[in-house]
Amino acid sequence: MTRASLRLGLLVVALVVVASISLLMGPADVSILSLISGTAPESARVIVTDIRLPRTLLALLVGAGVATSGACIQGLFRNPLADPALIGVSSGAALFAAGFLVFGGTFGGIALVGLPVAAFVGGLAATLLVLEVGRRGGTISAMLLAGVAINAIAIAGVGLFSYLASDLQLRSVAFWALGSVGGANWRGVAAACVIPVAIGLMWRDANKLNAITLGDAEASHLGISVAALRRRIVVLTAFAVGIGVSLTGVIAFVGLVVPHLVRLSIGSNHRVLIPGAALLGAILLVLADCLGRIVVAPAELPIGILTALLGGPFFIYLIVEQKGKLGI
Amino acid sequence: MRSDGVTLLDRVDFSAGQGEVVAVIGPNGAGKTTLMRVLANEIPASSGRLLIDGETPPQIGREELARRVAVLPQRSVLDFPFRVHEVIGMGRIPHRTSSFENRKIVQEVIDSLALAPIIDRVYTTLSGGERQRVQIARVICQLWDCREGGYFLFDEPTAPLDLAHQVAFLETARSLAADGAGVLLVIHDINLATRFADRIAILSQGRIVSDGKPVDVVTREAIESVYGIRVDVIDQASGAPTVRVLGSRTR
Repeated sequence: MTRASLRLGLLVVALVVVASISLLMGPADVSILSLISGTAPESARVIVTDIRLPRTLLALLVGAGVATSGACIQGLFRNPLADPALIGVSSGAALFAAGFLVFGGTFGGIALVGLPVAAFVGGLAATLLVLEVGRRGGTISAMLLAGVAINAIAIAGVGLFSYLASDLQLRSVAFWALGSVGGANWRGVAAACVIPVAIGLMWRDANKLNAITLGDAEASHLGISVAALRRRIVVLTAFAVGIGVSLTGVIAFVGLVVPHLVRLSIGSNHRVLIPGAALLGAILLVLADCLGRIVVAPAELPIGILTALLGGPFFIYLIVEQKGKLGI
Repeated sequence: MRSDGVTLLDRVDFSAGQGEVVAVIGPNGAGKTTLMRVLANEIPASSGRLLIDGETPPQIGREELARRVAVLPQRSVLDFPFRVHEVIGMGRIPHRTSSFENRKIVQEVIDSLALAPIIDRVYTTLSGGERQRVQIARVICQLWDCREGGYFLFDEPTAPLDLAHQVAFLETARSLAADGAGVLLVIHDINLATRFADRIAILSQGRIVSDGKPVDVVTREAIESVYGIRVDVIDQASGAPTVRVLGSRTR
């Protein structure tokens, strides 16, 4: 446990460092000394507090939420290849977001709620649908397959909306699907504060998540109500990921890769896996955002492209090199 | 007990008491696992009821039940890279004991099962037999501090173990019973069952055809009729009869 706490401590330090870099980095030069001493020009302060700080916080919170949800969903489904997208939350959100972008202008009712609310409602609706179909099917496989089916339907729906969209709308649908924290503001950060609450609630179930990796029957012999746990974790994930996706678009791969990295480096016990995944997910997303700002400067690369570009090959390396320890 | 229109268990009246090791034997598909799952409160019996210390499972409550009954299913599915000591420690989940106490209990279980050499290994890198020993340890850990009055249900615990570890496990089962626990296990090796069990029940086609002391239950007639092979039963005087296989078909 002490070794694990030490490593978690290192992750906290790394997160502080990466977040500081993110605050100071950008086209406008801002020195940390002038910020602290209060001698920085007004414009520099505005850039940091109104643009970079909310952007950094949003990347941090969304990264933490997606990675933690990935860890819990993998444990819950006892499937190392599971990720939050599997329960339909991402594709449901994408479907409603695409619908909003294409039809939002024509139907006043939709335009009122705004893109994040539409995406969040879509994510939650898709998740509840998967949960209900899974409940009727009765097994974990039924729920996973329900997720696959709902995903396929939602993606077809996004395709249909894209087909109907004008060129301009198509561009925003595509951009949203790539994921970006470029549009961050304080209202978004305030909404994203639901994420740490969800993470805290998932952490309270850490022991039960450990037990369920043994099997449903084993978990119930350890005194756990499996159905209630499954419902709780899926709904919390829908919140953590749904809010995140609604604010930033789809962030690929973080939910799948980060939990594996934490299991390999810190451990599989959900008591350390959950905080570890939250910290590492936050670090990686803030870092990806920093990179996205410099690689094609003065333009910006959407964060989702970077996470998939870097995460994909790295995950392939893990699969080849560590298959025994990954449990696949 | 019926499933898919097939009667899996029929008029089975079965009990296991504290302080004894009961072995359930019988051919594949006889209903041994179904019996275990009914006794473990995993599946409800279509008629009849399950009583634990005179109470039904709902009367006892989910968590309290986990502090009285520990179950090892036939197959385990754990696929995550937990350390061995973490897997064993999961047996403490239903308890409110302090983490200090839990660590002490896990250590005692590790010592008594001679698992010290592998406690820091990653579970997913273990062999089948080692995994089984870890799962057995987890189940024992669950009731270690309340084994007097507790019940252990093991479904084919010895199947993946080598001969030495089969014997070591059965000795552990005996010592759990000596400490006041009720131990019920499904096992295929009749000769080990006769040596280590106080009672043997033979299950065939969903019925308990025989239930009693090894020497009374394991007879040539009983084994031949249940398994349909030719055998010879020797060493009856010792109280732990040995079955020798003579041929594949009954005469």
